[in-house]
Amino acid sequence: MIIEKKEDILQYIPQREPIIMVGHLVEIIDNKMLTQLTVYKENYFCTINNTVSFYGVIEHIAQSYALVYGYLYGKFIGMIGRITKLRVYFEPNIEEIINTEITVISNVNNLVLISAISFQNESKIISCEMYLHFNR
Amino acid sequence: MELKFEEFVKNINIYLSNEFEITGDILPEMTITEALGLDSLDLLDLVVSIEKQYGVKVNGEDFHEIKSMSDFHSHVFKQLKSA
Repeated sequence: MIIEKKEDILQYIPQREPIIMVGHLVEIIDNKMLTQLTVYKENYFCTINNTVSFYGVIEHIAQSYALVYGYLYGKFIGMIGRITKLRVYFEPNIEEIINTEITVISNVNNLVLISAISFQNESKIISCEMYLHFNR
Repeated sequence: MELKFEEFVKNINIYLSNEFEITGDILPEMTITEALGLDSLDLLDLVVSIEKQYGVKVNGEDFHEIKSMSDFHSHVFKQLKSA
C-alpha cells in the first residue's frame, strides 16, 4: 500500500470532503496502478438505491489518476478533457470496495491518456479511456 | 533497402491522412495541429498512433522542439533509423 490515510491523500489532490473519491493508492508498477475506494451513505454520489452513481465512479477514476500524478509529479489541478470507449456495467454498492486498475497509455507534457477498469467483487463496473489535462 | 527520407515523409503523410481523415495537403511548414486538424488532446492520439505504426515513441520533452510537420518528420525518421 503506497498511500493509505486520508490525510496523506489530501497532500496530493485538491478535492476535499464530501467529494473525495479515492481511498487508497495500492500500487504503481511501471505504467500500471491500482487504487481503491469505499463509498458511504453521506457521499454526494450515493443514490437512493444505496449504490454509487456511475458519475461518481468516473470521478473516482479521474481522482485516482490525479492522486498518482500528484504522488509522482506534485500536486496540480487536473481536468477531464475527454472520455472515450466508455462502458458501464452496473452501479456498485456503497460500503463495498471499488478497485480500479489504471494503465497510462500516453503521457505528453501535461496531457495524459489512461485506460481504466473499475471492479467490485471482481465484476466490472466501468471501463473507459480518459484524457486528462494537468495545469502544470 | 535503406529508407529514404522523402519516401518516409510520403508514407507517413499518407498514414496520417488516413488516420486523422485529412483531405488537404500536409505541408512541411505547417504546425502539427494545423496540418492534422488536431486539438491539444489529439496529440496523445498522434503519439499512440505513431508508436503503434512505427514503433517510435515521441516523448513529452520532444514536443518542445517539434513545432512544424517538418520537425515531426525529422524526429520520427531519426528515431526510426536509430532503432
